[in-house]
Amino acid sequence: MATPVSHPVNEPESASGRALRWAFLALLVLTGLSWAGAHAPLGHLHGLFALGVAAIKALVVAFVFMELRHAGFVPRFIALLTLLFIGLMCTGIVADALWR
Amino acid sequence: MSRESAALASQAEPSPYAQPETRRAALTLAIWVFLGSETMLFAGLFALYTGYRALYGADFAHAAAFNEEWIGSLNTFVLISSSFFAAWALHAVRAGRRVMALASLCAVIALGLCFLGLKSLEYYDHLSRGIAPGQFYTFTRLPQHGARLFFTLYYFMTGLHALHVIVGLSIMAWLLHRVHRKRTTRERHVELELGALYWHLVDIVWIFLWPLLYLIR
Repeated sequence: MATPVSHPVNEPESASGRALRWAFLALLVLTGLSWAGAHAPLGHLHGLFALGVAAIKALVVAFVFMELRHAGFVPRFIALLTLLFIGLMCTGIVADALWR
Repeated sequence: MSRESAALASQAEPSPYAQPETRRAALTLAIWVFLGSETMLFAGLFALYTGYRALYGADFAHAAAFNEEWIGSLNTFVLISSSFFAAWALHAVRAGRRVMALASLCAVIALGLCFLGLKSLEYYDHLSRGIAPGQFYTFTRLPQHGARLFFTLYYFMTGLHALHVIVGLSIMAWLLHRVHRKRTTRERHVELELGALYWHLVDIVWIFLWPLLYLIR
């Protein structure tokens, strides 16, 4: 059975305790903002607002908690590729549904 | 190449993953590829939701109003907190603060169980009213086809997510055991990094499920 890898060797710079606490606070504020936005008279912008705030929250988690900001090229490339793929798929499906 | 010569060659050239730095790089690449594939799995469901939402917008909006918003919102707070504690556990291990790491991992597990408890409560409430997936849907207040589709997707998406939470909790319990037995330490903790990354992905998926299933009406 393989043993866990010894450390630290080429370990990425990690998020500081202060950064983690600020990110957590930001996530809580953004969650409150999402909830408030859902009850505000935004009309057709409800969906855009909710998903926009969700995207910002996901970026905070990815860059601070998942340490993507300190990660190398490959993790960033995979994350970007995944996002592009999701965007492409959703856009294609909505276009198909709307213009069928 | 015969078996003997292959064995000799393997002895002469040690595995490229024998070195800690190359193994670490390989594991990091593997987890990110895995997380990418997991995201694609959910992306299919998100895309399906987007397509049906475009076709049955009004039905989806009415159906979302029957989800318990307070449960979804509380679960969002619970998962975000658990994600913070997962990151804090890693931070504590790197700083050599074992007790804090243990406490953080316990918090992750407790919050994960809380999430599942709240989700079960909502499932029970829905099922008792006839809000079930697919052909089992018997909710008379929303007989529209779009509402049936919404709740089928709701069960698929939240069910798959809950399955990931259960897997994540198992990993966290294993990591708790390792930290407790001093097998995961300040010097060797790559498994905690990988486990925390997985848990954060579970959190990110919920960050999008919450507005789609509870808030956008």
